[in-house]
Amino acid sequence: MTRGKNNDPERENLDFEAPDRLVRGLQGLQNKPVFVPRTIDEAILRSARQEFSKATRKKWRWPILIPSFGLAVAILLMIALWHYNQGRASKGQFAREDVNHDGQVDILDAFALARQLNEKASVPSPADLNGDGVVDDRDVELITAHAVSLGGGGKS
Amino acid sequence: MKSLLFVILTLFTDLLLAQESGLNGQPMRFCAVDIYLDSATVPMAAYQVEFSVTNGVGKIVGIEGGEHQAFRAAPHYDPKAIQNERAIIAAFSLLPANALPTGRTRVATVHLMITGNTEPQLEVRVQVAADTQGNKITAVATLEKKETK
Repeated sequence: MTRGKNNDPERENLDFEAPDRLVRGLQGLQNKPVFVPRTIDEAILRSARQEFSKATRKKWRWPILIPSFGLAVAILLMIALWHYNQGRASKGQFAREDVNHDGQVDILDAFALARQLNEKASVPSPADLNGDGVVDDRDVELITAHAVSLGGGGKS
Repeated sequence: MKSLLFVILTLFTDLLLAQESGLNGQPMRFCAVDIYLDSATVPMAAYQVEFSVTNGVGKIVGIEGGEHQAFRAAPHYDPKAIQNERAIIAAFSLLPANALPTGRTRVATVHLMITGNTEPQLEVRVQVAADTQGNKITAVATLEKKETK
């Protein structure tokens, strides 16, 4: 693409001949060597690098950290909620069978309830595991079945 | 009529042989394993043990009670333990302390069906044992195997 004559009148106004003295003077300025001491040069470079690195850090840190922090908080909340629900579920499932409150459902719980029934002691209503309104040998059997079950469980 | 009788006899014989040698042609035998618990000088009122065949060559076919009157009745176990290699066996007695066993006593007998010539590796672990008040006591479990067939 070649550049022909400029037909734009506005541009034509900008194309002017500078006086020779001015042109020579300006060219002479460029030829004059400017001495900058090395220490000053290095100091300027160092401070420029520091400024640029600050600007870079400021630019990248927050946009990455805010979502990461939010994600971490969300994950922690989910884990805490899961643990809380697990605890509630296991309490609801086993606590009534854990008659001796040792944290395990085993034959000793059935034995404890059988002893209470045998001694005609007042048996607390939570021991009515089958929900028939009576605490009796059938509730003892339920605890025993749970204690010897091979299907896991056992912990209160 | 004769051929029908022959077919029936052949099928019956095959069935008997299949039962003797197992379904995959391996020899099959039965044995009984006695479970003993030793609570030393403390009268034992309740126990719970876990019994297992660890090398997979035997399956439980029955569980019965022990020798002492306190544990003579069949103990509690999950019906799933039958035809399985593992069982949790438990029992308790409401008899007074002077009627409960002390020292070494047979609390249960497990019947096994063993397939193949490999000897079964057996394991028993006491999960819990207690005195008349339900307090946990120390009991040591041992096994004694005897061939029955």
